[in-house]
Amino acid sequence: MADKKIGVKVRKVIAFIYEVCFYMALLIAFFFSFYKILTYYGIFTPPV
Amino acid sequence: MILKKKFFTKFLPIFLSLLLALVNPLAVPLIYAQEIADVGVGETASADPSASPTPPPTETTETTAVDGSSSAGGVTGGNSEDVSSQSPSVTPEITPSPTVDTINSGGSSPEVTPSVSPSPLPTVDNAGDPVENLSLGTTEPAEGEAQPTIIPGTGDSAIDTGNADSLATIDTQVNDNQAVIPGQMSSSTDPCVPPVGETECPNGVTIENNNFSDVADIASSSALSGGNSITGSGGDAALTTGETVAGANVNNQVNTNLVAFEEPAGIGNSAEAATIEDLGIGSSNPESNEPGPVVVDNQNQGFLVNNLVVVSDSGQNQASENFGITTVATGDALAYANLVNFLNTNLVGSNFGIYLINLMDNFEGDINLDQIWQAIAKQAEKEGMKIVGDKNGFFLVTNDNQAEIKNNVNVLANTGVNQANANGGQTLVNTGDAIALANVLNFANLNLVGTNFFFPIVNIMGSFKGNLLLPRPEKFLPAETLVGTGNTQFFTEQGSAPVFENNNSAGVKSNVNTAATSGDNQANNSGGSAGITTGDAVSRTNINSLVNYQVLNSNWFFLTVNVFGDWLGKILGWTAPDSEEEVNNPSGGSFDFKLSQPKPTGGSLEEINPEIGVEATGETGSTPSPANDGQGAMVLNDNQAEIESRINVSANTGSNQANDNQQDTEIKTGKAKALANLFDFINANFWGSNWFFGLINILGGWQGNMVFTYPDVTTSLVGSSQRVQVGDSAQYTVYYQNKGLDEAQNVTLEVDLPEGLHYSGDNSGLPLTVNGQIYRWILGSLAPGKEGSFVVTVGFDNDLSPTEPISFWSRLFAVHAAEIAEEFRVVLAASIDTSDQESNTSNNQSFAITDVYKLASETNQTTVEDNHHQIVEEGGIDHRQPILELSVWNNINTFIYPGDTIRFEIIVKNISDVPSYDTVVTHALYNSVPEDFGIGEFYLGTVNPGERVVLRFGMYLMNNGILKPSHYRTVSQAFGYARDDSEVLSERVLTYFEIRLKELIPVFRVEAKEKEEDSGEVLGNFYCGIEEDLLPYLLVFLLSSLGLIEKSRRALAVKKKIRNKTK
Repeated sequence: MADKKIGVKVRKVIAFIYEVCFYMALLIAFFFSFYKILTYYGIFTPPV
Repeated sequence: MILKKKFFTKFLPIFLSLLLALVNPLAVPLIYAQEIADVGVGETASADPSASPTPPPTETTETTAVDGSSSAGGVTGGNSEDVSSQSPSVTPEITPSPTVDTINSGGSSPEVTPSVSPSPLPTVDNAGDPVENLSLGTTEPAEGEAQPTIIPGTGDSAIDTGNADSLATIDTQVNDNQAVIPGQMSSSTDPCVPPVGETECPNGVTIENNNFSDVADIASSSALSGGNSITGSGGDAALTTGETVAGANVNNQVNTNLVAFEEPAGIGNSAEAATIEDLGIGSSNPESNEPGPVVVDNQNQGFLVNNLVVVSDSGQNQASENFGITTVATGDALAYANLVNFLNTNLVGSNFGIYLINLMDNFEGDINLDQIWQAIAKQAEKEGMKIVGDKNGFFLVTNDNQAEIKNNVNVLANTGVNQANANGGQTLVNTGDAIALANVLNFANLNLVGTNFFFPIVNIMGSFKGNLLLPRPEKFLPAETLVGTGNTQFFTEQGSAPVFENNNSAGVKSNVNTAATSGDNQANNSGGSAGITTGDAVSRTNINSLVNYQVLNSNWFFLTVNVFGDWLGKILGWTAPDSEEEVNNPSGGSFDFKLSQPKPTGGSLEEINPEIGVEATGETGSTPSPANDGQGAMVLNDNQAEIESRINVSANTGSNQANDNQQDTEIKTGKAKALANLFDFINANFWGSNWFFGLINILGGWQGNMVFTYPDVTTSLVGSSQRVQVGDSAQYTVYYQNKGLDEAQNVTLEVDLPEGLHYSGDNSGLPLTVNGQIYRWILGSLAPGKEGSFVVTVGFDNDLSPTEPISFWSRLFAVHAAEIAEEFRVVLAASIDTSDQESNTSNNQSFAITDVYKLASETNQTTVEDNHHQIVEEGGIDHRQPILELSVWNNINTFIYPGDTIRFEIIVKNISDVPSYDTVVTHALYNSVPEDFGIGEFYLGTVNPGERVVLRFGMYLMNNGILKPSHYRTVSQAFGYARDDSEVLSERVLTYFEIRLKELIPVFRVEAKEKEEDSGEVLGNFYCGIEEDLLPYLLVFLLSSLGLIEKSRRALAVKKKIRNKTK
């Protein structure tokens, strides 16, 4: 029983980590592409 | 459906963002990138594989008596008496042989220049007037001021003495005879082989030396800063003494006879060789071509007495009956004595070198003993001896020696024997380190024929940062190993076996005492606490005696390292060329490096260590000698020697007293190190041998490695171009270098060409041998650090077939065009080799990889060419020229802002009736100055008659400040080649635009993607710019937005659910 409980917990933790990573990846992709679009149109000029 | 949704919302954005992140750093910062649309046959468009980068009877009788005395003293403190240095000096003008080079380093670099003896000077007839009182003395005045005071009273008292240095030197050279025989010599192929060179004397030569000498040396050196006293002081008492260094170097060369062979002017031509008549000495049978006899007869009798006293003392201070705090602190004391005696030394075609290096203070840099050894070996090549004449040569050396040496050496270093008794306050006695060293070398009745002997002595008494380079052990391996020959071969060459007969009688008495003391301290009846801390005390005696020794064609390497100080380093190359051993016993240890042939006949090598009071007595011995028919070589040695050495070496930091003090009492003593090295070579007879005896004494600190030197040859092969078309040729640069520390001999360099490639030439100027597809250049010898390079031109055959196809990934990142029918890779290998062993063999090979391509059009071209030949000129060359027409357009009306992209369209048209080969379009950007901002090249390949090629691309002006607001123009031009290889070019076409304002950075970006109607296909593309297209980012942006929205929506839904549930 105890093993099963531990297994469930581990799975939950893994699922949580996966969710967080995925969400972070989405955010990074969003902001990165947004930044590139801004620079492309000259709205934002990166410092040299 | 769900999967699709997941794919679009989750995986795709991640994948795209990761891909972009990967592509960015891989992008090559080229100015241009291109994508070409082709019109016509469907050819062209490939990146330009731009080529980047780029003797008569002589008799000498000498009778000499010499008394040498030397005294030096440096005193501070005590009674402030400067112990005198008396020394009128008489230096005899005699070329030293054997050489004893003494180098004392005091802060500056000791220059170790390889000087080799003997030097072949004309015979010196000294006919000896007795020389007396030969002495050399050096005194270095002491620094500081002595204040030997007794101060009764109430105030504080202090004595602070400076440092004291003293050095005594005696160099004695008596009865030094040299004879140079005109002869013809040739060296052995291997310089490491005993220098049994070759001599062919046109006429007989007789050399006779009769020497008698009686030499007595007295050398005393003392450096004193101690012997101070403070008693009855009413306040505190502080007594501090400076460092003391006392040394003595005594070199005696008595009764030295040297016979060297001088190479005549016209070697190989006996007519030009010096004859006896030329030298004005006798004559034998000049009409005969057979060499006459060479007779060397040495009669030596010598007496040598040495008395050396070296005292270095910073102790023996007294600070007693003082009222306040009492301290006694003594400086370090160093005392050393180097005594080298040569008595009755007979050298025939031999080289003998002794190097004595004293590193006193701080020395940084390498000490290269290997270089000196090499100099000796090379000298041997020049002056070595090998008797030629087959059965008619007669060579006789007779040495009759009587030697008597008495050595009395006393070395004392003291920082202790201090007294601090009956003081009222705290009492502290702190003594410095004491180091005492004695090196005594006795060479008595040393007879060398065709032998190299090297004896370096390195005394590290200060701080040494650097490597010690030594000859590698292989040089001293048995001759059989090196050249596949040995004694037998040597004997055979003479036609008849030489006679090597030795009658020796020796009496050797050695009495060596070393003592190191840091104890025997007293701290009794203290009113407070009492403590005694003593430093380490180490003493060692090394005695090596070679008595009545016959060595015939034997090599020996022997090195003693005494580690009495701190050695931070490794031993490299001893056990193997690439070996690296840690020093396991860094301090207080002593170890020997030995490499020898089977023990030579007669005599004995005694290493008695560290016993004190050694007595060794040799007996008469002789080598078995084959029956002499009077036609070979004969060496007869008759030696008698009596040697007596008494050596006392003492280092003391202890024997301090601090009794009856009323408060706390403490005694701390420094380290005490005493070392004595005694080497006796008595009645030693050598024939055709290489001997290395070394002695390293580490008494101070050494940071560096002991390196047995090896060469390390390396090569690298670099192609001038990455891609080559079949039928073309390419240049490859071959670099080579000796990265090792020793000379590499018989170096060869090989380049291995694959099938289908052929050698077209090189610019090395080196001899070349060819074996199939292997090309070998002979470099000869490469000195350490020497490097070089040459260029080899290699042709690629038209029928070159693939051996290694290009990988998928290589294709992905390379530029390709559809017209390339076949592309593959060839590998050229270069390797370097030497006959010597190397410390690193992993860097002896190098490879150059070249991509080779075949154009599909080649086949077509051939057809076209064939047609032309048929139509235009039968069997001749077609001289018709293609005509290229160029038109260029850009999309700028008047001006543009930095950060914008200019679109260009270039149309190239071949309006002739012959094709233009290897057509290239260049596109350059200029402003008002002549320099361009970069030229882009577009390789179009063959443009056939009537064919039109359209290039469309964008030029992105980045805002990095390089492109200033100004008027700009672009200049475009097309180049091509006619069938007869003459170059054709189009008109230059200019376009103009203006850049206004905005501080943006120009970096070109290419975005041509157009494909004209019926213009064929897009032939390839690549991105090299820093900037990318917008589209992928837009996609990522959209998808990630969707993903985020979906994610938020779900989260909200979950929240709602929970809320509902709770409700």
